[in-house]
Amino acid sequence: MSGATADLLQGTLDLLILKTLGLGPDHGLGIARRINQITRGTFHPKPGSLFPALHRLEEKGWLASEWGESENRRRAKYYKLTRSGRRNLETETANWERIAAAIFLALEATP
Amino acid sequence: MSFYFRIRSLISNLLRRDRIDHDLDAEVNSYLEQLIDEKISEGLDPDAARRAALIEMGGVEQVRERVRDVRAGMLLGQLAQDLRYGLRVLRKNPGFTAVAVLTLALGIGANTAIFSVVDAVMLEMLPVRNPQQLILFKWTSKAWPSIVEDLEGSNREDPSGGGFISESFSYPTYEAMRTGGTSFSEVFAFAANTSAFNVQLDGKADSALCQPVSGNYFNGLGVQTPMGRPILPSDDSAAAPAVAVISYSFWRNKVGADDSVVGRTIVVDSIPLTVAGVAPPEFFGTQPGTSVDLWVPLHLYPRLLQAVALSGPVQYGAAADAAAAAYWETPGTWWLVTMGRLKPGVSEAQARAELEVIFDQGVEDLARSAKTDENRPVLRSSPGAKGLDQLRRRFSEPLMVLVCAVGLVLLIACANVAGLLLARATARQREIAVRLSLGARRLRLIQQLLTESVLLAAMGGLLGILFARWFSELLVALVASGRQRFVLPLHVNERVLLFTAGIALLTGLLFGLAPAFSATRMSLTAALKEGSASSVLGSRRSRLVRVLVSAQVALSLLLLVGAGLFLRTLQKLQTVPLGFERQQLLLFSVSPGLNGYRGSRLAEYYRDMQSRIGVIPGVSSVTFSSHGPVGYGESSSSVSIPGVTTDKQRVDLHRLLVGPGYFDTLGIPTLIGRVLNGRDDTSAPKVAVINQALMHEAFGGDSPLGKILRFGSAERPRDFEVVGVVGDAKYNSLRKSPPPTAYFSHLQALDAATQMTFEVRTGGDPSMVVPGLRNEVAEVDQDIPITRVETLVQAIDSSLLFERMYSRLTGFFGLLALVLVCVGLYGTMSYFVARQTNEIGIRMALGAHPVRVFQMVLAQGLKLTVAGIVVGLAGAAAATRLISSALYEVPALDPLTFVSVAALLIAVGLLACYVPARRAMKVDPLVALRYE
Repeated sequence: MSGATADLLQGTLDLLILKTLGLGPDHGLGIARRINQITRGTFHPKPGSLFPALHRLEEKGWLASEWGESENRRRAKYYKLTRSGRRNLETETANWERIAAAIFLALEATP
Repeated sequence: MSFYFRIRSLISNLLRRDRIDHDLDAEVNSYLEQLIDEKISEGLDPDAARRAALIEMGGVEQVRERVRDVRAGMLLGQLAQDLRYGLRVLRKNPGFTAVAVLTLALGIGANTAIFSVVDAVMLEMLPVRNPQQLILFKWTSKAWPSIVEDLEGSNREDPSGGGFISESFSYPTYEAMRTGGTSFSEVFAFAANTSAFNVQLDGKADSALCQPVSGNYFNGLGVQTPMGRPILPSDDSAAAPAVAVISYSFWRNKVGADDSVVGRTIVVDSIPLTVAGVAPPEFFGTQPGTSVDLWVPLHLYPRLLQAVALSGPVQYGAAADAAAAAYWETPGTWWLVTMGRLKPGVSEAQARAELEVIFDQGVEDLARSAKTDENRPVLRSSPGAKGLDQLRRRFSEPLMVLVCAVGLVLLIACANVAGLLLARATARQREIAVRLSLGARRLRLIQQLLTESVLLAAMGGLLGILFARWFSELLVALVASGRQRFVLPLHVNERVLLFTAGIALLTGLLFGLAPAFSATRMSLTAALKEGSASSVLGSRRSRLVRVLVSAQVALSLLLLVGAGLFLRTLQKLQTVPLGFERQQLLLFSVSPGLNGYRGSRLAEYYRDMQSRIGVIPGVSSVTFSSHGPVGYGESSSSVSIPGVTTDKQRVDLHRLLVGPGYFDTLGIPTLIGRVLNGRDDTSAPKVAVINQALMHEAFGGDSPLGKILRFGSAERPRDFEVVGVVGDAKYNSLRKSPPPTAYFSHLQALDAATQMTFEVRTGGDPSMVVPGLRNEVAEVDQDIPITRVETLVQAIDSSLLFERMYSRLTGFFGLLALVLVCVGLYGTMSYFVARQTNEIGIRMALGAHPVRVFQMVLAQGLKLTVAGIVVGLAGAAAATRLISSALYEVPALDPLTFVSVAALLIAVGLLACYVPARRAMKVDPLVALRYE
């Protein structure tokens, strides 16, 4: 656990959720675990920030949800990307790459 | 997710918070359970796993709270965003906004105005302390109860299941109810009849409405007097000094707002009373619509009445005392309206159950002592918060008609604005298409469009409240007849504001829903191209626009047909043959009986009046009668006619006491024999004049001269010999044909001639003789006030209150509807012309004559109008049956009305289409084609 998890920016979490769900529908805990996995343990979203983000994205119309059954036979709410969510994933990814590249360049630059 | 589900989710989001919360709970719980499962599979025992999971969750409640915040914040944020956007859009289209807001303001304003009347008549509570605690007692019976000998006040058919219903009780019953019950903090009473009495203050004579009340009336109602004291229980006994409480408006208008009024003397019917106090400004009594001037203790009532004695011989001395005692002691005299104030925590049913026992006991005792027990009355009660319900009963039906009328106006306004919005949706098509293609959800767009329409409605509502004030004033002015003592405080209170807000929101949704759905239903590829006007969706939208316009025409036709029928009814009634001359007849009333005039003094008073008024310049003749010609009430009796009727058979007739010259002054023709004159006095044989209707009914074709009309019983007959027959004339009611009527000389029935209405025929304008008239009346006796000074035309007008109200108000609202339809049709046709610009251009390029184009547009407009007219006529044919009871000599399917309204609408339709058609004619083919 590094300090990075504490400062998980809202936009970052939204993008990570979209990215995760881009791989396929999943429930809350599954999303948290997958984010942890694909960021190799750097990000460890807590329910206190994960749920508000999920509901915000759903309200925006980027996610849709329905009740289903989890792998260990528990009732769980599954989220998936909507068409507009998928479109936004693409724009947000492009944005992020631009910003990341810019920041990387800025940090690499030597005076 | 289908569209339907989205809508459902929006609605559930707004209205079913708890279900969302429930869903969220389930979601968070499922997360927790999964987390526990995970910990267990990592090797922890269940308890430790749960603890670890809860720690990792970081507080279930906080999670839920944060989600709720996000959702609420988003919703509010969206709303603020939509409002900002909506305002910007409306500001950018000032023309559209102005027309829409104005249209809605007219519709909402009309409804607010009528609702404020409904509120004042049907909903307003008495301005007293805790009116909800008040209970009004009544009783019902199958028919007239045999134990009731004398009933004052209202008795009527019970609307729920026939029989008889009344609010009047006897004094012994009231006393038993007052002292016997424990559920009430106070049971109080007042005389069921409020009558106008002659009062004198500082030597000026006037007429005032007087309400006798029990000593605990003011305390029971919880009404304080800002000046002096109320009437107290100690005032209400035969021995107590006579006092009165005067109303605030009486104090201000008749006493000149004199601060030292308390303690002064006011003479009512020659009984001097001391003014004890002044009632608060808002307090008018217990009968909405009627303003009491004077409250006096109950025990004064019989003394006041002795002086009045409107019919029957006047009693003096012991006989009068006996008559007065009847009010207190005779349990068969029912004359008091009784109300109670419930103690806190007691229900109406409990209280009634308690008093039922007392009431039934009283009825039982009375039945035993009177040895008669048919149609036993049963005690009932109703909430007394709104006071007596005469006004509500009288106006509930007319108000219903008006509510329907303004409802139609609002529907038309809605259809109108919906049409405007649809037309505008075409103009906004590209904007909406762009937003949809950028990923905006359709639901979100609909939400935003609806916000816009609700915003419009809210603006319309605000302006509507302003309009409502003018409408109310106009309403009162339209209905006012100048004479009626009709006090109805109309004000915009919270209830009215709530109503306005409610209908504004409702109309916003109503007119916004269809356009919002239609605007967002589109094929993106087609819409993004410029020439989208020809798309299938566009034509679906224009079909909706057409339906809306036709609906407006149909609705306004309904309203106009109603207005037309009412107008024809009013005209028929205003011009119905009366049987006498209606022009240049001035009426006024006097009640010398109230000032103690009796017998020969009374006869002399009338003779004096007649001769003095007869010589006033401008007066051509003068007479008087016990009832004025129209709208002054009526008297009827049944008589036997020796030689014509058999033993048990009697003939019903209306009677009228008349002074000398009655028939000449009114212009009623003499057909057979002679009319009455001043020589038909006490010393002459008693005579009567009858009208044609009575002659036909009682005598068939035979001559009635010399026949006897026998009043009274066989033992004590009072005979009148028929000496003449006159033409039929209306009596009291304009709607009823002249009833069989007998006329008698006032000198031969002086006992009953204590009040008279004078009829003054003038050469010119009747109002010119009024000042001279007042002088002469004051010369005869300045203590006798004259009341109800009006011309016959005015009297007829005021008897037509409801008819005038119906025709003027529906006519006004019909006109309003017509204007709205005109605007709607104009807007729609302009829209169609704009849409068809290139089609028109092509036609013209191909050689179509401009006149042909002009005709084409007119024909389109006419088609919509006619479609609306056809539907409207069918609707009107079904609906007018409902108002047929309010019509007079006009059939509910009156062809003249139906045809002229249809013609009017066609004319208005053509007028509205004229400008767009002219515009179409001037389309430049080159410009139109380049546009494509």
